[in-house]
Amino acid sequence: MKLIIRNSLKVVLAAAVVYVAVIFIFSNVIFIDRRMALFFIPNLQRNGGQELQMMHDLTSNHVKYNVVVLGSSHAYRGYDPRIFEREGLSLFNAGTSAQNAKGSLVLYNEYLKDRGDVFILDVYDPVFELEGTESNMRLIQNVPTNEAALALVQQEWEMYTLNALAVRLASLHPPDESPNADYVKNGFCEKKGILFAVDPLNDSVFDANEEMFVAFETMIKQMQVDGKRVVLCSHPLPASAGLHSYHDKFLERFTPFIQRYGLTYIDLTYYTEGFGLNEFADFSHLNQQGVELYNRLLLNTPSFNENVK
Amino acid sequence: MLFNSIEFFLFFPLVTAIYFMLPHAFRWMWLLLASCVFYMFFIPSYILILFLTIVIDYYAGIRIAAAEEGNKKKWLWFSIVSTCLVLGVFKYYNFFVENWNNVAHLLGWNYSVSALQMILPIGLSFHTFQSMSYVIEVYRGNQKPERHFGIYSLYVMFYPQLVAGPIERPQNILHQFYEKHALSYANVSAGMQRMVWGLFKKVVIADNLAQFVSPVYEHAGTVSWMYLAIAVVFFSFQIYCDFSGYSDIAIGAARVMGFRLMENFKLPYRSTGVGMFWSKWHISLSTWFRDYVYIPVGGNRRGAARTSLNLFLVFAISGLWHGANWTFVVWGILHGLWLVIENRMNVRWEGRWKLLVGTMFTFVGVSFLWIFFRATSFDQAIQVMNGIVTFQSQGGALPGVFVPLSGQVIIGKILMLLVFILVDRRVTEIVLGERSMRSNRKIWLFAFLLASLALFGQWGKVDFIYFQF
Repeated sequence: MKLIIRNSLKVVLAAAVVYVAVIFIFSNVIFIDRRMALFFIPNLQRNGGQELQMMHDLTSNHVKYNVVVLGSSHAYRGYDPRIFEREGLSLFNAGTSAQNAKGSLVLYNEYLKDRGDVFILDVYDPVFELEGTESNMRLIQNVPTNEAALALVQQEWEMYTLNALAVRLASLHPPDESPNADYVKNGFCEKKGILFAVDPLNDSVFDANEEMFVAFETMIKQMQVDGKRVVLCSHPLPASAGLHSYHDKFLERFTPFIQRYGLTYIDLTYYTEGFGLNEFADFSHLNQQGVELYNRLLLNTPSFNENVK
Repeated sequence: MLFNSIEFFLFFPLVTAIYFMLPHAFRWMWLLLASCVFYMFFIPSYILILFLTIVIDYYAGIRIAAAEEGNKKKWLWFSIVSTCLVLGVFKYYNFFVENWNNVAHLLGWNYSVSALQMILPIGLSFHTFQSMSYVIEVYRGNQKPERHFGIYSLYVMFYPQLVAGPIERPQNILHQFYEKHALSYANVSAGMQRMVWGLFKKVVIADNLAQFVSPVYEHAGTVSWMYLAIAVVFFSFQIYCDFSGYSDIAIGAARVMGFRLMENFKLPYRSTGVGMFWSKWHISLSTWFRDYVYIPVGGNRRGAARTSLNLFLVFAISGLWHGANWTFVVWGILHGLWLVIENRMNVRWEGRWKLLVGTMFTFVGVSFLWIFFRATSFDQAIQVMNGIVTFQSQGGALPGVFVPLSGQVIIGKILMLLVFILVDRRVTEIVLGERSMRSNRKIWLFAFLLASLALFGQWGKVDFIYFQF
């Protein structure tokens, strides 16, 4: 028995040494322009890109904004600070790729609580289906402080997120591995291109990840306790995308939740006036022409103005 | 319960520790209880199906032994038909209905049968075959009937090999449940090494390859031929590491408790010929078909033509055993054909270079036939093959939910596979005790495997492929 325990301990200790050594080497040795870790460690996300640029803009000053946006790529590509500025409103867009409520909550607690009183939470149905690991791993690589990275790991205790944290801690001089050329300012990225056709997704079925709804609820509760005004928004999607049954199913689950917390939800998913294929860059993202139209539409919506202005 | 789940990491040490703490007389009860819990993690009510086959074959075994010569066969057939009926209803009923409805539609009959809405009980084909093996061996007089219902239940339900084998024979395992196993360093060490190696193959190699294979097959019509070719090679190793990894964990888990299960794999991709391949791949199933189907229908004793027919028949049934889909049947038939041709041509790969050519040829052939095994339909299989042979050039990036599978991830998987190919034989031999290694070096080897599980493993993402059978 003693021999079993002794040798098991030896193997575990040696494994810890191997783990640390491999993490250190893979986090710092560059292979074909990337850190080796990106080749081998599952789900590890690149350092840099919109997330890094956004975090840099956010932490380089202490400005308080009129409006702060949280959400997925629909957020960081859908709310243009320049358009809001024309209406006399300052806006910071803290959306990140596939950002879910767990990631949003950490960003809110660590960086955004004191940076605005009005929060737009962009609502995109698929984010409520995903596990969210990839998105949070991206944030773990790019948030400025280790405390925030640890808070993200605590939201998602998994081997993947622990590895991402280890890579972050071991990376001596992490390069920007994916600079986003579309980045404008305050977190916003301009999406170019025009959508020519959409493959209808009539058969898609919304399959809720209950964990995401719980996390979303936690975030809303906290924002309400902090006295923040919260507006939920969904931007239009191409009419030909055939997402009605999918979105309806999502709404069945989501509407009681909005009512419970008395939230304003401006849902323009089915809104088509002025939104043809020319206003979309792909089947789910607005292009700059669409963003212009959508932001103006929001700013002229009474329920939005009641909360924001 | 999956071997690669957090539940199993708690279950296994707990079950093993209590097993050794209990007096010998109670150990079978504990193992049976643990096996029930293990099985009920999937769909709890399905344990009743398992119970039904256990009762039938337990009773049949006793009646066969007690019956007069003429009646033995009746009880044997009663048992085989009943057990196959359960398998038929749950595994093949919908397949039959689908084909029946297609035929009816073709003939213009306004008649269709409704399919059953149910999930296939996990590991049904495995424990059905293990159960049948017992009854046949009792009928042949090679095995005494087991009168202890609990021990017989444990023979069918022993949790390490319950859902995906190895398909045990009663002569090998039944007597082990009566033996008193002491906690021994040799068993724990050998068993744990086996489990770590199996887990490494499954979680690090198979599941990482699956991450590429699955989307490529799903988008077979739009990705480049190079991706398709890589996916075909990847799948060969995915299924090998997935299934042999499962067998390693099963054999290792049993070994820690002092039980010896039969070997299921012997480096099959080092075979020179499909015959040799099948003597090294899923050995417990291959030998099952040899002993209970191939030899009883005549084997190679009735001339060349009949031998070919028998081989062909066995492989067609083997294909159907794997799954209720024509793709599996075609996969089995093609293997049968290949074996028949190989036997007729009597090819010998002798000499270093010929051996290499033979190994490559066998690997390419087996990999190509895996396309039918992996594809969800004929259309998909043909899309994959067509894409490769016509050098399909469309597409590029693999569509993901939000982020496409990037080039560096694919390069990483290729490098990981190359390292595995280089070390597979050596580590397998070390784990099997066929090659010695200094204790300190061994500690570092297993430390590397453990660290790899944490660093490179895909956790909780992919089921074992053979669970569906």
